[in-house]
Amino acid sequence: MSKKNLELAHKFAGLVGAGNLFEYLGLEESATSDEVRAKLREKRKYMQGMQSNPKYKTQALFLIKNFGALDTVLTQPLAYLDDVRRRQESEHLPVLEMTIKGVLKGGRLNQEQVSFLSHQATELGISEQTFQEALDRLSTELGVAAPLPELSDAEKDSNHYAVLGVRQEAPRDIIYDAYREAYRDAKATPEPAAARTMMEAADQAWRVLGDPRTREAYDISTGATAPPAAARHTGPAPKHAPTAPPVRQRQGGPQAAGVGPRLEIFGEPVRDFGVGKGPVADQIRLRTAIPMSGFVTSTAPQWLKVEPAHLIATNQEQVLKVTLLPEFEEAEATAAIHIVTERGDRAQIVYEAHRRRFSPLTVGIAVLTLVTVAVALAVGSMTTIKSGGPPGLTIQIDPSADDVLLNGVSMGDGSAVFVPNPPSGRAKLRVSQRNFRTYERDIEIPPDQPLEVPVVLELTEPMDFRPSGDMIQGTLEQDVVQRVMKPRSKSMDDCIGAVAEPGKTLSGTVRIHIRQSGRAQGVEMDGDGISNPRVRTCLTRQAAAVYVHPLEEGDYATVRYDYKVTL
Amino acid sequence: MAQDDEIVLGIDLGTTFSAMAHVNRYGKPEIVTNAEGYQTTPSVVHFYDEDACIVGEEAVKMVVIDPHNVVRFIKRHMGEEHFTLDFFGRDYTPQEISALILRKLKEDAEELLGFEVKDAVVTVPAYFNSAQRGATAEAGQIAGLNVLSIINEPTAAAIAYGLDRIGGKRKLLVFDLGGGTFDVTVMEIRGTRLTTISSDGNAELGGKDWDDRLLNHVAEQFYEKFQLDPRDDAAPYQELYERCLNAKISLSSKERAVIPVNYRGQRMVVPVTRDQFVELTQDLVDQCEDTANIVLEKARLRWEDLDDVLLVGGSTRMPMIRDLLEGLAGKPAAEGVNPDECVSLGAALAGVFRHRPNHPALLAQRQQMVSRAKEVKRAERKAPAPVKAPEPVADSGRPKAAAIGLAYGGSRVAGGGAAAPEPEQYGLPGVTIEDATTHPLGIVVLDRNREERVVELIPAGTRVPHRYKGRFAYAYENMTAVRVEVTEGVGSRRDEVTVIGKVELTGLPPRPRGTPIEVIYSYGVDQILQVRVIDVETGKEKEAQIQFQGGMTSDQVSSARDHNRRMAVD
Ligand SMILES: Nc1ncnc2c1ncn2[C@@H]1O[C@H](COP(=O)(O)OP(=O)(O)OP(=O)(O)O)[C@@H](O)[C@H]1O
Ligand SMILES: [Mg+2]
Repeated sequence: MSKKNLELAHKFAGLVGAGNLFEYLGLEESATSDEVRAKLREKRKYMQGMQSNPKYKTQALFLIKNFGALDTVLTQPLAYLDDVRRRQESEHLPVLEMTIKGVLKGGRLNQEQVSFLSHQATELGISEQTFQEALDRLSTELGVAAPLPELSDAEKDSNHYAVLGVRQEAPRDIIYDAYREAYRDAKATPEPAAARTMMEAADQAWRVLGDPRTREAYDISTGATAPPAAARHTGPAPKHAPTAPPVRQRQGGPQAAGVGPRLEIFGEPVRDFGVGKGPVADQIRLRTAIPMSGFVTSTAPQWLKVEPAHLIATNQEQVLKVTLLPEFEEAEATAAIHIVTERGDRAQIVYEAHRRRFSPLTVGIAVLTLVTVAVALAVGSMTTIKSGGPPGLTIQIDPSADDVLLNGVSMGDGSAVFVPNPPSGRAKLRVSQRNFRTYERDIEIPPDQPLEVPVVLELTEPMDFRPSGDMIQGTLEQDVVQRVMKPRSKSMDDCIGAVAEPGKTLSGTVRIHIRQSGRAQGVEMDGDGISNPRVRTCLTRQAAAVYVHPLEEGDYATVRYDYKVTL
Repeated sequence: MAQDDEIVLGIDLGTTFSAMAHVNRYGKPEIVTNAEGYQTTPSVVHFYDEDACIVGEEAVKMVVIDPHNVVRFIKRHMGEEHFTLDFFGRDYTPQEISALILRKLKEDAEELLGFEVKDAVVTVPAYFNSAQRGATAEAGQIAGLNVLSIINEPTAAAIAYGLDRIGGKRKLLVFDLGGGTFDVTVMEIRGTRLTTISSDGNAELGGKDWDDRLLNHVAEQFYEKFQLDPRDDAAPYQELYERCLNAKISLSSKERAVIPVNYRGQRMVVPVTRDQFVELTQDLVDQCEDTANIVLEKARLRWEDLDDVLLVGGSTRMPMIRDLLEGLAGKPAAEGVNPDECVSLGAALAGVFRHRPNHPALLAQRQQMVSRAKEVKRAERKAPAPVKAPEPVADSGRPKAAAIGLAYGGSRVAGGGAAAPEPEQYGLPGVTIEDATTHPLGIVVLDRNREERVVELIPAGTRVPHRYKGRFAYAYENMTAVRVEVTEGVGSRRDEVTVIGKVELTGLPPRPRGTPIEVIYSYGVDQILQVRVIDVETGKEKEAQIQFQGGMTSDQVSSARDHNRRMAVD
């Protein structure tokens, strides 16, 4: 059944103040499809006489114009009623989510809490499955592990992550909080012997996990290849896995004693690209624990290309160049790049491509004038900058770019873009980012030498927007906020890190105001460290690069980022 | 080819009333009365069988008896997607319902005039968009009419009004508040040229809204007393609506009206004073005022710059509207125009000016002008002025405006001391009509971030005919085709506007980003947009006509036409 039709049916029921169409038509939910449809037809005929009646006009016109859609929905009454229930459920879901978050704030989750939450869900009319999904999702987001009943006590004692009840990917501050919590719990335990064991276990866990180096070594020794930083990942992990124990499966292959084979991938494991008429470039940066060779393959080589097809055996760090071509059939396509090292470590990066909606005819007057500007600028502004680092061209962008073009070809986005085999000689570099002035200059790329080009973008206008009283705050879906904040959060933490003192935690809130157009247009900050003008500027610039989809007319929205930085 | 004096029926297809007119062979525009003998026909259709309906006054009477089979105000739904009404198991589009009204008009006209009517000019509110215009044209086709052009109602009104005022230079504001739509247009008459300067309006504001205010007021009073709402049932609602409508009309001439309500055995009489009515509808009047001010501002004029204010549409009979305009303009509205008739009269005239260039009355007028010019010349030669004439060149072929001696239907003569022509003397001066667009036309492009954006090419208020030529460029390397998507409406995002047509130029050689492409939009007087896309480097091009679409395919129109033919219309 089409989603759009269900949406219309739901909207109509809301409009007439009925729970569902059956109720509107005065029928029992057990009525057959034929019965409801006949009744709907009758109602429509009746409403024809009411369409100019100011009291019933809206209802009548809606029914007349969407009769086809509503009728289709009622051909499958069971599916429709099911959808109604699901919608009611999802209306209450935010309440449940808030409760779950409140519990998860503690950094841990035990069986007792789970059953409390489950009870809450039942009260709100939310099914067990939906509840489980919400719990899984939120605990993944917050880096809190669900209770691990499947671990034996012995196992539990031996696993530092399990002792603290955190996920293996959890950032350090979460681990710290969990450690404090565990310590307090231990103290509160009436049995002194048990208390001591618990305290020791927690201490031991913190000693290992609190220091990035020992944590790394520990991860390696347990065979878990997932590294501590959130930016890294290992290959195919089950989708909803918060209840599973931290990844501990060993990768096959010969091993040097004490050092597990490992493969780290930087960047997102799932990458989403809009592909228009031309190719889109991306890159995969990876590091192997020791130099080793391996194979790189694409599951859809006709549109997802990767180069080189093998790992360079002498390098520990390397970059794979990925190109997405508009050669996929449907509007969307998904494929993956698999990396397998000689030791059997595996990783996969999933590429989701969607066709960018565009008319091939394009770039209006705006771009033509820009070309003129670019030509004018090119005179005497050749740049060659800092060398060093890996061979190839690295473009460092402060704060970040929506699109980096080299001679008109997209090379990627983000705050650093690496081009492995750039054309040597003079090239046109163009970096664009919403809210910032487009940066254009000619660069001279030396053959076979690394080149790093720093680009500092300039804000087009000051970020001084504040919503006024008569503006309506629109809502942003949580996943949208996450998607836009994820690439920003590390840089924002870095901004504050500039004034952090070792051992002290700085925390606060950055509130970004989004205009109707979807662009960030104002920032408000509150918290530690922001009295420093450098931090303020840095945060403002980061905030300025935030962009969500356009909002409803007259709306604005705010995105809140809570920082917590410890050096 | 149509005969030069073959009739062009001017049709004012209104929300509540429709009217028709033609220009007789002497050049005089005349209202064509319907079979019942009235100047206007209610735009109401009653379906009483699978293939039979009644249009007009009789249909209005059925509204209380058979409310679910009567259609009113269908014009408000013209061009609306998915809007169909079901009568006796068949779904009718707004086009088809309007076509039934048009057919009644056509047949009544044929009966009165005694010959077949093929061609028509149909009017629409200036603020109608392309889908609404397209739907109106489709309604004409279904009714078996050859719609020569669709023209704007205020323009038509101005033609009818301006015909005996041409020759000078005047600025006029046409304020058209009908049964369902509202339009304000500033026009200029200069010589024989009639130009639209600016226009704005609301396709959903009209007398019906005033009726509804009264109705809601009365229904609320009734509810307060009996906890019963007469709007809840179709027939009592319709009955009450009729009473409110009548009360509204009497409030135009009287200070007080009473509205009797009778519902579920309870009765009540609600008195309404004119002041109360004004209070109930104040915001509607304010809307009218705002629109009028905006239109003047767009024309860069002040109220005192206007020579005339022309009131069109039945709802301008309401004293609150007359007072509003008199207050704004500082003088009473123009006299001598019938607000119900001038639109159809103007449409008939426009039909002659545009589509019958050799109408006998036009030829006769030209003939007269030539001979009068000769006379003037001869007279001047006989008695040369002692002082040098200020405009000696005017004699050479092009007569001075004042000397034209404009006449139509023999009823009026302008200027120049020429003798009054005999009644029924031939003569109709040719008038050139320059309309303006009311909705911007644009194109979908990719901007510098390769995001879709709509760029306006022909802004609203552009005088037609108009040609826009612009350069665009490849957004990506190695493109082999370009697509021009023509948009209508205000906004820079695709979902804010409507795409009304597409033209694709394919088979291009792949070239770098920035390769220039030229796009030409030509908008003609007949409201047809011609789009040309040219690849500058190879000279390859594609041209296409963007027809205004009302939402029905040509197959649907022709099958609707068949059904319409089978249908009995009384
Ligand atoms: N004396 C009057 N006082 C108030 N309102 C009147 C009077 N006479 C007619 N009307 C109103 O004028 C409207 C009809 O005007 P008109 O015939 O010009 O509109 P229309 O051409 O049918 O509609 P539109 O031009 O909006 O499509 C109706 O709402 C009618 O009630
Ligand atoms: Mg009208």
